[in-house]
Amino acid sequence: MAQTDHAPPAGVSPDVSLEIRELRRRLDEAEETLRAIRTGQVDAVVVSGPHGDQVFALKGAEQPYRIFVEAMNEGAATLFSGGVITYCNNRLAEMVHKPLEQVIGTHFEEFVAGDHRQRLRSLLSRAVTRSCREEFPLLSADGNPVWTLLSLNPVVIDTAQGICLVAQDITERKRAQEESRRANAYNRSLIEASLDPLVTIAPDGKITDVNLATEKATGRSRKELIGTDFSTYFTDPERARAIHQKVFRDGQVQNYALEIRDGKITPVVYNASVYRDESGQVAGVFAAARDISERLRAEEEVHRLNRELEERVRLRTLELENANRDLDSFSYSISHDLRAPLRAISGFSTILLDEYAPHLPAEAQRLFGRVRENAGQMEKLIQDLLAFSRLGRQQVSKRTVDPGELVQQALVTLASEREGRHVEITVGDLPMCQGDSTLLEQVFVNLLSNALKYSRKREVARIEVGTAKAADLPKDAAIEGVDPGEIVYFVRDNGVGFDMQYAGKLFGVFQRLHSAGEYEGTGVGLAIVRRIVHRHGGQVWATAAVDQGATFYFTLGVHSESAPALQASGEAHS
Amino acid sequence: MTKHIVEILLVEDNSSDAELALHALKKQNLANHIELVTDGVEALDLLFRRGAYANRTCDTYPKVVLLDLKLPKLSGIEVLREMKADARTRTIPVVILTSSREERDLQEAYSLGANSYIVKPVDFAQFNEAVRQIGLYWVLLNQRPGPNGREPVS
Repeated sequence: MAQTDHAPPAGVSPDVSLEIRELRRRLDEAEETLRAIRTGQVDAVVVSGPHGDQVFALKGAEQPYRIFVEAMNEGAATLFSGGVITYCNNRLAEMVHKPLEQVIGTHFEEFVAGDHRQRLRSLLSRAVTRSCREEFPLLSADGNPVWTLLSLNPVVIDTAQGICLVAQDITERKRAQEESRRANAYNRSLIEASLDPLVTIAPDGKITDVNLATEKATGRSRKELIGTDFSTYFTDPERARAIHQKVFRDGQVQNYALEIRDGKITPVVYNASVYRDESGQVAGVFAAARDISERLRAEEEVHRLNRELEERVRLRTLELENANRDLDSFSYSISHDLRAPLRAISGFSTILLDEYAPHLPAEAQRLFGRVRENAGQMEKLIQDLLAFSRLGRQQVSKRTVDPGELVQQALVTLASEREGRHVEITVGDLPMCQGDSTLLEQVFVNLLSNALKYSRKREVARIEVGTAKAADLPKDAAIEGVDPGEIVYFVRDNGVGFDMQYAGKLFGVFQRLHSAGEYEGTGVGLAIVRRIVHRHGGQVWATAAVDQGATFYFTLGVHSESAPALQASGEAHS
Repeated sequence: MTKHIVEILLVEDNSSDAELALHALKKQNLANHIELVTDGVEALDLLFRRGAYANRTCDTYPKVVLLDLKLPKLSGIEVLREMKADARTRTIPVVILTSSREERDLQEAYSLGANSYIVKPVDFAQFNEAVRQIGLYWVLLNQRPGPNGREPVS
């Protein structure tokens, strides 16, 4: 230790002077020690204390740091000569999956992929003079790069400038970041993929985010859109703002019709709801404006087609009305003009017979009789034809009717045709139906009149009126287009019947299967029956055999309640 | 100028029907004061002394008009409408004698005030009977207002 020669001031006692000298010496000694420690020239310090001197080796201070460095979870290294690793801890060696001795002495660059090396060099050159932090992926011997946050601090050992490097493994953080980025990208891609323009709007009406569809709909880029007032993109901004306020009030709005203007006008349906931040506070409005031009076009097309259809129906109705009027005047002409000459034929031949009979030979009288008969027959034909044609124009006024009652009335009407004959008539249960009672009574009159007429030669005429479920009819009586569950009315007789090969002619106007001489008639009765049944939405048909009687069937669209299953299966093929 | 007494005015364009009707009326001795016209205009001219009938003097109106519906120029319905619209002819009984049994014609005739509607039967015996009854009832039995049913013509 250096001795400093400081003489005590004059006039001081030799004891005090001695003490002062001693204190000076100790002070100098302490300063010397501190300087030595500071400059690393000593590796141990002796500190005098009340319990004697104590030695603190510098080695003792380094030991805990070593333990810290080796135990810490970060990789640590000292780099000199532009990046050569002069020291590193085990953790860093682990990170790069290499033995420690292979790491020390290697340039740090070796552990960084080629495309990051330029950046690393720049970082290392900066870190010589100041602290820096940057993220780098370290190459690892097992092939998986390890993402690290490198913290670098300058260090000077003796005169050499180096770097203390700490590498924190941030793989987890990176992975989480990547996951979050992916999730965001997924959400974003969904939003961008939406065909509906989607926007988020701040409470003040400023657009905060848009998707691709919004750009397309408005013809503006998202840069232009974000930050502008959303209402300006609608033809009615005031209404748009009112709706925006309503979203805040009610939490949402649905199906508001608005129009976006972007050169052209796009009709949209506006749906919006508020969205909240993490704390639950309303952060803004998430709105979707769906382009409904296509839908409106389709609707307009439907309307147009409907209008066209209505117009066509109107024209057809007009045509029908005209046709009906023509038919009217035709019937009127028949009724008036065709009968007048008949009346003349009948009248004048009658006058001849009445007033000139004495002058006429018997054969002439007979022939005039034939003239009169034929005039009478033609009058009947005209009357029936008129009745038939009237039927086509007559309104069918449907109400609930009791067919049983109609049959009874028909039998009263036909009482004269039963006179002097043995006729057995059985009438079964006839369910109520919806129909025009006048017309349906005509059906029963005509069918019963036929049954009576063609059973005339039977000793006992048997006539049966009844109903059956279509499914229960005998095979030969089944007919297409009738639901199995439908009620079929029938009138059966034991008369002369007819040959089924002529069945097709049965219901035609003026069609007869028997001669007028044998069975009188004009051949209009069954045509009338068919027309009435058709006008009720039903069908009529018959089965018969020569001399075996005949059965006439008809339906009126009445279903048997007890056969819903049959009814359902029947509808499938009808 | 001849003086006419017309008891029955027959408006009928079909000559056969007209002849048959006249034949039937003759049999009932009702043919003496029958006037036959063949269209609606002539019928109204006669009733209102117009056109060809302007110079005819007659102090009575017919006791009954037998009116066909389908007539040339003016239909029976039109004739009926004009007759019932005019005070002078309103009380003359009108019997529609027609071939038409159309409901529409019946409705229209009665709503205009026709007194009867007869469909001409094709059978002559029935036709005869119908005409006979018409004559008996309207000419002989029916009473109309005015002195003896006769009103002075303007």
